[in-house]
Amino acid sequence: MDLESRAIDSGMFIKPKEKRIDAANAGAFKSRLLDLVDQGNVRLMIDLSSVEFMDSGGLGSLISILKSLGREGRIVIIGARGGVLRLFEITRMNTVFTLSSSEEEAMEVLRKV
Amino acid sequence: MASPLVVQVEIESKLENVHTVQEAVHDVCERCGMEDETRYDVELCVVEAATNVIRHAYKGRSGETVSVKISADDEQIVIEVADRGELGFLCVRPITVQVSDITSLPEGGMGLAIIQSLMDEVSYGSSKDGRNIFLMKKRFQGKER
Repeated sequence: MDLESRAIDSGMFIKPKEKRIDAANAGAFKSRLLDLVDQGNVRLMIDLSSVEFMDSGGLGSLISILKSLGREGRIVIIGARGGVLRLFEITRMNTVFTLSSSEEEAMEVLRKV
Repeated sequence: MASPLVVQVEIESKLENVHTVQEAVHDVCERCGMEDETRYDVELCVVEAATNVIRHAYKGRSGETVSVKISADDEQIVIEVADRGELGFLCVRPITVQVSDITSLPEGGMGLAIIQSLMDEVSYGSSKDGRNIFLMKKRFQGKER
């Protein structure tokens, strides 16, 4: 799983570089993110702008990560588009994750946690 | 479209091969002039169906065959996902979302609920030649040209 991560002032910025997050690589994605959570990063901005397709396995890995964060944790998704955005909508997970339209807006959400 | 478009794809039962089936469906949907949003739904459903076959009918075994037949005309796409594994992975659990209780959110088992909510018709059963057939139909209107 090719993934970019860097600290930002309100948490951790994470950008998967894969075009797909599906049943084939969702386990690796989840494992990489849980490592970051274990290091104390619980406010996550996840940039999905490089991801062209996600299935329920990919979504399930995000839900697992959300559950691992505890009460102080938060995930803000940016860059979701096309079929990825549609997946959040049809499963109503857009009501669970905060979907932001820009990095600045996501930063603001994380600052308020 | 003068005559129905029919495409058949076979993959070995490995999760990393499922994208091949999706690409074939993508191509058929584009050739039918399907709207993007409907195409996203159909692609997602075929991926979920093929993944379920590998995980449940074949119990994750590689070396088996997943056969997919895609038939489409101007109004409807029909997808048959066939396997020779174990019958009976159709256990649909509704996706329950309670924002106030994150611990109750599903981490898996969403695939069939997604398929049922997005497709117009879904059926699953055995054919005379002993294969299990997961059948999905979706009606659509083409893009305005």
